[in-house]
Amino acid sequence: MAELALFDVANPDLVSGNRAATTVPTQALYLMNNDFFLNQARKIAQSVASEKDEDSRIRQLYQKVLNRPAGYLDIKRAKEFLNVFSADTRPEEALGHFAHLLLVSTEFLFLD
Amino acid sequence: MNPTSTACKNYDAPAMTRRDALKRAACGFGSLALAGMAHADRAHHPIRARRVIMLFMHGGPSQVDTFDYKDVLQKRDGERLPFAPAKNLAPDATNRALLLGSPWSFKRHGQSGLWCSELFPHLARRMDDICVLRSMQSKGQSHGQAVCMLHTGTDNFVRPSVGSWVSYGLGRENDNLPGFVSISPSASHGGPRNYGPAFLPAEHQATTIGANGKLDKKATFQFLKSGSAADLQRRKLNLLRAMNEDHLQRTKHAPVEGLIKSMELAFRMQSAAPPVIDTFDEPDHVRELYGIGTKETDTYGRQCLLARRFAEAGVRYIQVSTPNVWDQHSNLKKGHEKNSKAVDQPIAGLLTDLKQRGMLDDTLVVWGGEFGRTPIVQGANGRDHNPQGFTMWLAGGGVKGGMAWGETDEFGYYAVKDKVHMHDLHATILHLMGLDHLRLTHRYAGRDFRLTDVYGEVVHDIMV
Repeated sequence: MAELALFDVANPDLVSGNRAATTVPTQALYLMNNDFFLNQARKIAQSVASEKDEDSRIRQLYQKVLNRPAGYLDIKRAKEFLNVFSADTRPEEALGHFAHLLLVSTEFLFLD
Repeated sequence: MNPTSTACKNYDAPAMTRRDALKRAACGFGSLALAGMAHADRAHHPIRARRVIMLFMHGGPSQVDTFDYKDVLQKRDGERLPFAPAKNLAPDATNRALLLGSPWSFKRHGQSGLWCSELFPHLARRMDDICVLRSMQSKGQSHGQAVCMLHTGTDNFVRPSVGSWVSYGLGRENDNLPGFVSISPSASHGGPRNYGPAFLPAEHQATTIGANGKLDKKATFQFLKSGSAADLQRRKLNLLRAMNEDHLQRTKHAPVEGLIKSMELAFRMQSAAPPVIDTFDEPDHVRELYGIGTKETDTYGRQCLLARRFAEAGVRYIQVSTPNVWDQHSNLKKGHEKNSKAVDQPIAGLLTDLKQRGMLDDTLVVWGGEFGRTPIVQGANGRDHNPQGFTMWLAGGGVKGGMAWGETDEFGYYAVKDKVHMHDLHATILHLMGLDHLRLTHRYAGRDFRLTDVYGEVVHDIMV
């Protein structure tokens, strides 16, 4: 319920004609720090672990989360990101962090 | 979803957009904060109040039992009101229309000799700091409308709240904290719309802490994680920002921009907010001043102390709400006694503390509910809603202390002299913050909107 309240769930005691649309930093904090998102991200990352190389893993993640092919720039950025992380984390962990970003990206959160 | 907003009068089109800033900045993300500061000073005229603390008494406290003493009402207790009551009342009250004198005694206080009832013994000692507006009027005969009216200047449409307008007009003073914080806001009577930005950019919504008049002892902004993995998060956010910028460029969707900004602010808050929120480092004498640790006053005391700390840290508009408790249709005596007990010492403590710190001069404290209550009885021992005439008060922030402005009739029912409509109060609050309510506009749906719509007179006579 704490999560729902954070996103201004309609009060069941009252008539709510419209849901409020809100954007506040506490919601961003939730996206960044909540275990639910982090765990889901890890699971998604695991599901592409068997792909043959890093490029394919990134492509698969884009396909799974955003339902579109990854572009040239998408892959380039992702590889740079994973590269920096590989210095001090395991590759699976780094891929989990990347999947987390896809899950909290505005492209995933908003309907265009 | 909010439709894309249009820039008007430079209010949401800063001289340097964040995208420009990112392109130009050699040092990348760190320079964003500086770009934010560059357009912080947008006031129309000199600022008297750098910040506002709005003490919202949800439910509607009675003016004739608190700050608007009426000896005629006391003398004619039980007699019939000699003129027609307002149309909002329940039939029994309208038919009987019997005057109900205040069950509490009143005294004049301080050098100013302002009236204050025995409900507020602590505030009574601060009357020389207070400007009592005895001729308030508002729109909305029931809570839903009147609460929205107080917060947004309209009783029926979804419009930006006062704090959102202030944040929009002046920007953030502290770039690591929100410009608008609402402590324990109500989920009812409009809920988020009372601290929402409506069609203003999404970043101007209040960030909340606590809810419905309650604040946990260890309250914090939810999901704040500090310290340990800052580097990791920074790197993640850098990539996320790049991804989101791409998305924004494709969609031009205003809420996307709002979320990007809120992500950045959230990251900075992780280190900036905990030292502000954690009130345990306050010395005991300060905590006692606010009534913290005493059962009845603990909650509102902690809310008020937190408000002072946010004010100190540069939050421009801070609201502190009571639960919806002031609505004494019955049990006036018991209800108002309990409610005033809960807030009296905390509010007096806040005024004292602000004054001792030299902050009262440029901090405007606003006290009041969405309306007042009738001088005629409802049921056996209650009072009905009264937006026709009621009391709010201001302190500090360029307002004269120890004065009363405006009058209600001899029974305290209708405002009759120097009336201050809620629109006028809004215009006055903006004025004290350096903003002209006529010029603080935002173009939306083909026309300019302002907090005061087509109304609002600044009450100049109460200013220092």
